[in-house]
Amino acid sequence: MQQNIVDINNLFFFLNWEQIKSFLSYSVDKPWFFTEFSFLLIFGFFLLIYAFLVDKNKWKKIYIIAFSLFFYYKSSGPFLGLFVLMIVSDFLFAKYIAKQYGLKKKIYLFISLLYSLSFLLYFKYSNFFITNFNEFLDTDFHLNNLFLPIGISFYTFQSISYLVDVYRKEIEPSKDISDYAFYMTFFPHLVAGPIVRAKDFLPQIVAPQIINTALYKESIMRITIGLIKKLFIADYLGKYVSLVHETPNGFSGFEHLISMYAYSFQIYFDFSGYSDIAIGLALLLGYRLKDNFDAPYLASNITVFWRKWHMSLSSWLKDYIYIPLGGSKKGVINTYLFLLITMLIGGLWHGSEWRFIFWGLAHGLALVVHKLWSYFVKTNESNKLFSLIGIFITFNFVSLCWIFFRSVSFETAFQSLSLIFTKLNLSEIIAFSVERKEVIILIFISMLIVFTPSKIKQFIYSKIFLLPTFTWVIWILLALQIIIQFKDEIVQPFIYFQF
Amino acid sequence: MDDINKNHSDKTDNNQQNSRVLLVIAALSFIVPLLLIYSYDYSEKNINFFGWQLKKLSSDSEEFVPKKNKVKIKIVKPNEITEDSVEIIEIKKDTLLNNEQQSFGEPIIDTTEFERSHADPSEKQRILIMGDSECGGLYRQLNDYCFQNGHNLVASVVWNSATILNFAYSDTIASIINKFQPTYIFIVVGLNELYARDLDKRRAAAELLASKLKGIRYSWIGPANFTRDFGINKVFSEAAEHGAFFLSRDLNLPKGKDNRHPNSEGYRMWMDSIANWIQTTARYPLLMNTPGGRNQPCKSKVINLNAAKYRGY
Repeated sequence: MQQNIVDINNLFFFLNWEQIKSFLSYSVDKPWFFTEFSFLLIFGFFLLIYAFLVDKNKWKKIYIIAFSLFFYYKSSGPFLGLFVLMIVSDFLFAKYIAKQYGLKKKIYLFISLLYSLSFLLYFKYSNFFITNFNEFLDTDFHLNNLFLPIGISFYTFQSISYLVDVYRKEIEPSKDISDYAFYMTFFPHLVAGPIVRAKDFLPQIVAPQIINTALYKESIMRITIGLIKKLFIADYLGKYVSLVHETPNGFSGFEHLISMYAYSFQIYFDFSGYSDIAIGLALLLGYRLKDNFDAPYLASNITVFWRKWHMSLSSWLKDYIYIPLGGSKKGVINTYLFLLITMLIGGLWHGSEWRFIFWGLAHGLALVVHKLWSYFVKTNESNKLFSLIGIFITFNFVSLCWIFFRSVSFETAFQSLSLIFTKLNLSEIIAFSVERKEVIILIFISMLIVFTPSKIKQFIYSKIFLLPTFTWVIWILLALQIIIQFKDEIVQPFIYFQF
Repeated sequence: MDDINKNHSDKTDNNQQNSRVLLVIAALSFIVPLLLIYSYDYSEKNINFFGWQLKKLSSDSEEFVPKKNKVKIKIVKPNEITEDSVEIIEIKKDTLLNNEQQSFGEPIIDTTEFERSHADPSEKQRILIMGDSECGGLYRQLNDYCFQNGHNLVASVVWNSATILNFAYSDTIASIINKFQPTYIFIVVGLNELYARDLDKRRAAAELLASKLKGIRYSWIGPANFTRDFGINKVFSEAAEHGAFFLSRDLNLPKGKDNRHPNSEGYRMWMDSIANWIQTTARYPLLMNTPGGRNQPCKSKVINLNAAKYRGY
C-alpha cells in the first residue's frame, strides 16, 4: 500500500512534473483568482523577475502581457482565444474609425460596437432571451449550454469605452498593438475591474510610476486589507447568507433581516476587497487604477451612493449611456427617463435575470424620487441630524434592494421580504446571539469599519505608514495567518466574477 | 547644461536602483510568508499559540471557537499510518454508534425482507457519487475508501442546492451516467427539501429517479439533517429499492460552522457509518474496508453544478 501513497513531505513538490502540468493547465473547478495562495506565491516570483526589468520598458510590457494572458488562461481556459480575438479586432477597428469622417465613421463605430457586444450578448443574454421568448410566446426553442467567460462584462465595457473615445477624438488610437493589449489584458483589472478607461491608462504605459517607499507601503496595505476583507469578513458572512437563501422558508423574519444586513456587508467587503487587491497589485507594478469605492454606506442619499459605489461602473454608465441619451439637457421628464434606462441597463449588466432588472429599476426609481425631493424640498446638507437620517434611509434602502441581488429567484426575494415585514420578532436577537455569535461579531466589526468616518481611518493609516519598510513582511504573514485560522473550507469566488 | 542633464540622469538611475530594491523587498514580502505557510503546511509539526493550535493551509475549517475547547482531532497523514492511527479512526467510528441517538422525526422502520445482491462484493467497481452540497463533503471520504479497496471513483457530481426534482427530471444525470459508465452509484440528496411539504410531488420525482436507476447497483444516502424533516426521508426510503436506502437522519454527527452540514470529522464518521452498512446490510454490498490513510489525492472528475443557476430540467 505504501507505494501508492504520494510523499507529501517532499517540500519540492513543485518540481514534480505532474504538479507542474496541473499548475500550468486550466482547471474548471479551480479558476485562479487573487485569493488563491498559489497565485500570491507566483506573484511574488513574478515580481522578483520584474524588479530586474523595471528599466526596460519594452521587455517589461511583454512580460506583463504574457503573465496577464497566463492569468486569464488560468481563470477562463479556452476563452483566452476569444479574448485575444477581441483585442486584435478592437485595435483594427479603432484604427479604421480614426481615419474616417461623417456617416462612414458612425457606421464603423456602430459595426465595431455591435461586434464587441455580440460576444457578451451571446454568452450572457441569449438564454435569458430564449427563456422569456419561450415563456411569452409559448415556443420551445432549446437553451444553449453556455459557460460565461470570466470578466467578459468588464472587458467588453473597456473595449466599448476605447472605441467610443477614439470616435469622439478624446484619445488617439494605439499605434502599437502591444500598448492596447497591455491596457486590455493588464491582470489586476482583467477579470472583475475596476473598469479602466483607455484615456486614463494608456498614458501610464508610456510613463509608469517609479515605485518608492510610500507606494510600496500603500500597495502592501491595500493588498493586505483586501485579503482580510474578502477572506475573513465577506466569506464568513457569506456562509450564513447562503444558508438563509438556500431554504428561505426555514428561517424566521428576524433571521432574514440579519441575512439582509449580512449580505450588504458581504458584497461590500467582497467587491471592495477585490478592488483593493487589484489596485495594490497594479501599484506595485507602477500603474495606478482608480478607486472603485469611497465609503458608499456613508452616503446620505441614493445619488451620492452611486457616486461612491462601484465608481468605475457608475461613471462608465454615465459617460457612455446616460449622457449620450441626452443627460439632463432634454427636459425634466426625459432626464428621469434616461436615468431609469441607465439604471435598467446597469441592472441587466449584473445578470441576465429579472431580479437584476428589478434591482436596477428600484435604484433608478429611487434616483428619480431623490431628484424630485431635492427639487421640491430644500434640505440643509450640513445639518448632521439630516445627514444621519439620510445615511440610515439610504443604507436600509440599498440593503433591501440587495435581497433581489442575492436571492435565488424573484419569488424567493419576495418571500424573504414578506417574512421581514410580516413575521419580524426582534426578541429573537438573544437566541440568535447565542446560536450564531460569530455572525453578530462580524456584523459588528463590519459596521465599525463601514461607518467609521474616513478622517479617522486616514489617521490610523498614517500611523501604520510610519512603521519601517522591513516590518511589512510581518504584516502580510500575520494577515495570511488570520485568514488561514478562520478560513472556509472552500474559498468563495468573488461575487463580481460572475458578472 | 551638461551638468544638469548628468545630475538628472544620476537621479533617475538612483530612483530606478531604489525602485529595484523595493520591488525585491515587495517580492520577498509575498514569497517569504507564503513559503513559511506552505512549509508549515507540509511539515508534520504543529505550533501551539496560547493554547490555540495554528491551523494549516490545507486543513479543514473548524468552529469559530478556540481549539482547546474542542475534541482533539488527529489528522492522519499517509506517512504516519501505523496500527495506532487505524485504531484512532476506529474509536471515532465507535463514538458515532455509542452516542445517545437523536431522532428528528417519526421512526422509519422497513421490515420488508429483501435478498441481498449475490454479486461478488470484492469485485472492483466504477463508482459514481452524485448529490447535493453534502455530496461535496462526502465524496472526499468515499475517495479514501475507493483508494483503500481498489475501486475507481470515476466522477463526483456536486449539485449544490439541488433537490430530488433536479436529479429526477434532468437529462444531465443520464448523460453523466452514459459518459462515465459507473457500475455502482451513490446518491446523496434531501438536505434542501427537509422543509418540503409537497411530498407527493417529491415522491413522484423520487420514484422516477429510482426507475431510471433500475438495473444499476446503487445506494441512496438520505440527508444528514440536524433538524426535523417533514417526511422527505420516508418518501425516499419508500421510493428506493428495499435495502438500498441509508437513513442518515438520526446519526449524531458533529456539525460544521453553518449548523447545516457536517464538519470534516462529521463527514468522515458519516462515511464510516455508510461503509459499515454497505458491507453488512445494504442490498448492494461492496468491499468497503476502512481506509488506512485519509485525505488521499482525488483523481476523479468533480463536476460542480449549482441548482440556483442551473436547474437541469
